Amino acid sequence: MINIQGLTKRYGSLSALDGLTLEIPRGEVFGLLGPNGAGKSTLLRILLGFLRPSSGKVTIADFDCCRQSLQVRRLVAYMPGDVRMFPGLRARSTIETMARLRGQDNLEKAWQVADLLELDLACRVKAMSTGMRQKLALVLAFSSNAPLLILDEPTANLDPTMRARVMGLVTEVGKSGQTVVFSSHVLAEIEEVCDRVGILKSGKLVHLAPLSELAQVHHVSAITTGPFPELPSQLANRVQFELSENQQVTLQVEGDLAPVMQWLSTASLEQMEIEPTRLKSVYQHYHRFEQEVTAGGQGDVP
Amino acid sequence: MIHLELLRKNIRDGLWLWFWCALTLFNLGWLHVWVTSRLDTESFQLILDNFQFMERMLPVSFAELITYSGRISQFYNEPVVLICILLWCISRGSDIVSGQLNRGTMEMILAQPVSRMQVFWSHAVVTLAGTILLPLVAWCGTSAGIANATITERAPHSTVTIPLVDLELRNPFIPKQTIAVPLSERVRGVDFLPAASILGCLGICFSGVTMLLSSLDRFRRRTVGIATGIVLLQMILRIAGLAHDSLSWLLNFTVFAVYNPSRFVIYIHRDSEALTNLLLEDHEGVSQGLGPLPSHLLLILIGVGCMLAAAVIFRRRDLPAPL
Repeated sequence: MINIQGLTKRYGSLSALDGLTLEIPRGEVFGLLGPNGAGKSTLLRILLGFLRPSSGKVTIADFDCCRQSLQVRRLVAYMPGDVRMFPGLRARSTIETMARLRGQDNLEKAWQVADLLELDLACRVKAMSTGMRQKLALVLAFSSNAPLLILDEPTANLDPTMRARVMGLVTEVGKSGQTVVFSSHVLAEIEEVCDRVGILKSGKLVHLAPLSELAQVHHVSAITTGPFPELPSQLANRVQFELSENQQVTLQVEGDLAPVMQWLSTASLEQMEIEPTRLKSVYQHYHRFEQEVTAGGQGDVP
Repeated sequence: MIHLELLRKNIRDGLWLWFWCALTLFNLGWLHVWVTSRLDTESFQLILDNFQFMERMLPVSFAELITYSGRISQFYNEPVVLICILLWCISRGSDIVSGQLNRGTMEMILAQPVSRMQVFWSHAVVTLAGTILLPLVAWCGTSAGIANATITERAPHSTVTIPLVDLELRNPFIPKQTIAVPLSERVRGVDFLPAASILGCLGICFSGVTMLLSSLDRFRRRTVGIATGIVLLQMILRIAGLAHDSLSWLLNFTVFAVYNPSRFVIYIHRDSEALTNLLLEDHEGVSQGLGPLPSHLLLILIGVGCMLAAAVIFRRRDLPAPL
């Protein structure tokens, strides 16, 4: 559905995106992660033809996002991160206006989604709170039958109940075969609905993996009270372990845990903890440096 | 090129501003004619005689200015008239790109399957239509004023005819009388069309310039500020250029040098062929600047040229996220 090859976007000497290559197949719910300034919004804006790439090629359903932007936008429903609407219009008129712009006749789905999200259709946009505007934008995005949905932080201003409903809508859309690009800072949401996740760092795609793979990776930690046995050679390719000076053992295990447990049973261990690796730890792995710098104030982020 | 839904939206957006500008122009046009009709020509001349030093600042001589045509055509030089037109041009012209980017609504519109050119021209057409219609409304106000005003003139002296010699003499026993004459017997509304049309062309020129600035910017207030600055600078250049012979070269750098509604009305009224002359010449053959048709064309050319440039820039530029 989406094919990105060597995409670079520069603003003077600053690279917002740097040689990004990514393919998102039809029907996938793809999660896009990254801190502020990582290039997520730039990528989404290039997909919609708002920005022109400095180099590289981006296509959606084989249409060039830069040169065939109109054809691309016929296939895309977009919910921006910062929702701004026509202030003088009521929610109902906004939905009708946007539907006419899309050439969409049937608004039944829009009224259903509005009902689900408890949107007051009589309210004027200028009188709406940020959350209400967000709901209106969600109605616009989900009421469209476009094969690709691009959602930029769709739950940022919503209460937990509405978040759950939006997550339900994303899941439903994913099941119906529509492709979804889901950008968010909430890792749990990405874990909940996405098939695959990509992590951006300083304009580069540093991690790309199916979320199902994450579920098969476990983190084991314990304190050893005696000599620690050698790692068997048959486990060497899927276990990474570290033994610190204070006898703290940490292991990263891929795949089946049973043979690893058998090996660990030969060691004398205390306070053992086993937990599945979450997206949070992957994310922190790539953005640890920024976090340390931010927390310690030791210098500039490269 | 034009999207009907966007056209409807832009008409809705600009309707109130246009309505109030139109109402002001129509009523002011009528009022101006009414005031002109109340003011006796001789009294007006007496007033002007005290301001001879200002004659060089005027587009026509005092002798031409005291005529009804001269005085009514001055309406198109009124600051309020220019402000109404420029208010429309700058406010709508600035909205076309930077206004919508600033509000963030451009992102919502362009997320739909509409082309940038549809967004641009659907807005530009409404701005242009408003710019053309406002001077027409002003002209309607002038014409309505002319159709309804009466002026007071001295009645012709009554005479007595001496029989046999058939000699007509003024009757000294009947006092001077005044009569009311419809103003439409002295001037015609159609005479002021060149003034209204050059006002429209000035609007097109500044609409184009503002659209060009808007297409380059992302903040509407900055676009409005720069456009207003350009208008003021152009006005100052004209005033300075007219104020002293040594500064007359400044007139080459202001579009207001070709905005001469009174002159066009009077010269065309005097000789209809003046409409197409490249240069206007007064009684003594001295050039008075570009003729009406070239002046109109020059302003339209600047305006349309800027609009086309704005369209090209908007088509190619990056659209930043709303702040």
